[in-house]
Amino acid sequence: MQVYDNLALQEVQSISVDDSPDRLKEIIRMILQELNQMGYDDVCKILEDESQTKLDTTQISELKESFLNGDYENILQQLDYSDIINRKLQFEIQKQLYLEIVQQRNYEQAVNLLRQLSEYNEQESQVLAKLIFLQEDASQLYAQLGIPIDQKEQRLQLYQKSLNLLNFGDFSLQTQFDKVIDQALEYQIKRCPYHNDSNENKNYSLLIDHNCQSYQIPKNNSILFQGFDDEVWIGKFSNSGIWIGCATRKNSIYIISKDYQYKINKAHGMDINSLVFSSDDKLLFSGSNDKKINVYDVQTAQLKVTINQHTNEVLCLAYFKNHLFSGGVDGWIGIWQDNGKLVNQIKSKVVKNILLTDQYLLLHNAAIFSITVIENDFKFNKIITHMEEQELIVSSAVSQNQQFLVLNVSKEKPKLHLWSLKTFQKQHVFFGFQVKGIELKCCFGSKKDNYVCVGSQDGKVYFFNKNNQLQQNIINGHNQAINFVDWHSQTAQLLTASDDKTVKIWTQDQVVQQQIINIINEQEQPSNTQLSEIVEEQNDHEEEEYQQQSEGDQSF
Amino acid sequence: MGKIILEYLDGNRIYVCTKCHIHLSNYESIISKNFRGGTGKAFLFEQGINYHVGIPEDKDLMTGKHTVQDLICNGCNQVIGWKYIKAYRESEKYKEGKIIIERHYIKRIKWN
Repeated sequence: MQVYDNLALQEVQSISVDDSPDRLKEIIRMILQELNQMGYDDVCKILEDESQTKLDTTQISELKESFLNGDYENILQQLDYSDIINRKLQFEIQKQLYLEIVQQRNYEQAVNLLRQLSEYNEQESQVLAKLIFLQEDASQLYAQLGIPIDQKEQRLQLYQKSLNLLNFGDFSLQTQFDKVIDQALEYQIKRCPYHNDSNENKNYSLLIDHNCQSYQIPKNNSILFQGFDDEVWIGKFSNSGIWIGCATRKNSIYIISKDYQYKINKAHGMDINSLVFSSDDKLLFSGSNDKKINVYDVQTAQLKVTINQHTNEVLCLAYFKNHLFSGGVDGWIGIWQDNGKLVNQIKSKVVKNILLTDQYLLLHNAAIFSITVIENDFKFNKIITHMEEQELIVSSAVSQNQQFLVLNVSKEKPKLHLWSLKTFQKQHVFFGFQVKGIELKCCFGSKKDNYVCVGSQDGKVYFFNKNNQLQQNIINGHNQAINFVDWHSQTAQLLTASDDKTVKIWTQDQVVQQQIINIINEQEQPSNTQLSEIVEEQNDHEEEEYQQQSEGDQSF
Repeated sequence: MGKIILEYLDGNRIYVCTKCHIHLSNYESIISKNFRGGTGKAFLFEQGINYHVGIPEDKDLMTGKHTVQDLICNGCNQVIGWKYIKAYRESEKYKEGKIIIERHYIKRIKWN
């Protein structure tokens, strides 16, 4: 198992430390600034003496003197930055001037200055006005403005604020030290390959570099299903995670759970394009190139209904709020009830995939390179936008939180495009996996949909962190191409279906022993004797009595 | 091998492969119906999808010497026609880059 752990750690270790004398001086001055702000003046003096480094250059010292003396005109002459900064600075200095004038009870001059101040910032000016007109408790008003009462301290604060404005563009009392820490954390988070935004991870210690663990990737193979009759092209979890539905190249459908398995031989006459479970997992729908949609009962694998109304290939199915949506070459999308009755038709182009969220109906068009976004009201006639691509979109998937869409655009070069469903903009491109002309399914997974997962033609599974584009985890899943990946949101299990005629289930937890389950083929006898009871039941599964499926956690 | 990536055509009057039913071309792309191939009638199309081509060869056809390559359906890997790469006679230059599909191998869908 190849795991690319700690990419960020490797990078940080390769950074060389700069210990030139200039660098050391800078570090000391940064520390002095921080200590100064924290109020540790004595310590500052000691450090300055011992290190022979002063925080302020002579230029800055002179500037500081001007501030402490109230020499405001001189200050404004000396400093000449952008217009915005000048204006802000001017306001702050005038504000201080106003406060000092009011102290001196020079009310006429104060009111004139107040007029100028209110042009720039009305809210604060109103508070300042109260100082003259209301003669209220001055200390309360000072607290409201965030200014100390003592004049010397006021001037010192103004000086610090001005320095901040010139350095950072705003008046918050931040030091360079703080700024550097913020930037470093941001950098580390960006470089963290397994980073996830959940709250458990929010306390970053400054003493160690930030590094999330890769615990969210299901890299342990817990179950292997073998014995399918041919390449497995579709493998999907049911909504509860108890069942999986598979379709193979020989057009057979398998319905498998922990307790029993069904094989529906020759379910269709041609390629099966799509399998979906109903919301209550009672029904399994299959759509095929033979233009039919079959409805099977999951518990008994009996064919309940066949929908024949499409006159061309059925390319995709979707299930949403008790209705089945079907689309294909016909040019219309059918909305059906569980019993096969047609409820509505939506005109469309040739549709390769239908994706439904609470807000939208997304149509993955097969002939034009775009996704059509339609509002999900009962009528479906309002087109909101088109998400355009430059080349053929092979497969598509929506995240659990319905905010993101991932598209496999791998006709020429293998890559995935991540789109936001809020802004309808393309956000990321992921590449690194291999494809040569076959359809590979991609999907989202893990809490908060942090990962995008895709199988590859060489049998590996690739996981990409949605938030930062570093490729991060590859599992050696199978020895042949992986056609379908399905990541179940609640049980956090991953299913991979491959050309090597097997399906594997992967979990996050450590697996003591891999469980191998042989899929029963009618012709063969299974070698695993523990399953022999089930074999006898399978032979006449149409007349079987079935055990009640008990409630409780029966996921794989 | 996995499920191969197929392209599709929008609209009506589409020609598909008789064996595997994948979309090949449509009525809008027809330039001429007056061609003949090994199995009989054949159409000249401006463009098509879901095919790949074989090795280019020089052949003497009814209309003169041409460089052509086999046209092979992506779904069933059958040779269904040919593609003109080069025409040696001036009057035949218009065929360059276009494809011929024999009537025998295709059928119509979504025809009104």
